[in-house]
Amino acid sequence: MRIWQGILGVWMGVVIYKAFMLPEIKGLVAYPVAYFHPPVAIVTFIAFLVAMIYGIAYLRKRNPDDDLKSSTAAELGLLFCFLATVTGAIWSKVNWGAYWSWDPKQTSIFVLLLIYGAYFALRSSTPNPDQRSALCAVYSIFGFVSAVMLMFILPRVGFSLHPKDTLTGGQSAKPVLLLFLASTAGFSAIFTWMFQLAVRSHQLEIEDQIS
Amino acid sequence: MSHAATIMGVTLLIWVGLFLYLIRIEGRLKKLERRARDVSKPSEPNDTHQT
Repeated sequence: MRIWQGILGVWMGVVIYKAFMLPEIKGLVAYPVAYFHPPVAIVTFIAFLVAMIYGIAYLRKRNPDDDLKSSTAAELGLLFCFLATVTGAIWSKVNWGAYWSWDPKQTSIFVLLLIYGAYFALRSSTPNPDQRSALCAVYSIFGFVSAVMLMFILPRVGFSLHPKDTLTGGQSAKPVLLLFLASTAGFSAIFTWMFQLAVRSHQLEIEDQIS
Repeated sequence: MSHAATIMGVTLLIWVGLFLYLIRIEGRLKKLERRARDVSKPSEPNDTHQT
């Protein structure tokens, strides 16, 4: 075990403990999942952004390694997107009385799950590896652009139950913001670790297939 | 034990489980990578001194 891994283990343990001490978030029912749902949603975007960056890199250099990293980031993004949906539904039940109310953001994240689900359908249905990599690279760009549209622009156009800038807009006490940032940093580190492991494991699989 | 404490315990358990799982995968990957490196290493020719 490396030092940073040990620090991450303790870090997230403290974040979980502190989240259950329930610092008040103005305008919302205090509930620990508040410190997990937004960070997980942010990491989803980071993952889809990474998928797009490696997709663009593949289109420029045609290096299969970039395609591998792009698809791995998309895989993890889909996992974190699912976690964001589940934690969001739990928080929705506490705040608004129902797990799902087709709020613009809830609808958007559902569409996002479908978009990235289709990414893997596209990947598995294209037999030619070069064609598959190129198609998926282009799709990852469209996927990220639609993610930004769906999650940041569309919910702000109409009415949304989701509060705006509650955690970061200076309305809540400083510990709330600090805990939120600590949680986001922790989940980002978990994503980076998982990404690194998944890429190395996929690379080994490919080497094994070649040999 | 209160309901909140139970949920906190479960959440901490999930985190510890995930953490140990990732550490285990990391260890296995390192082992596999080492093995793959050993296999792909070109073997030293034994008869170089004869030529």
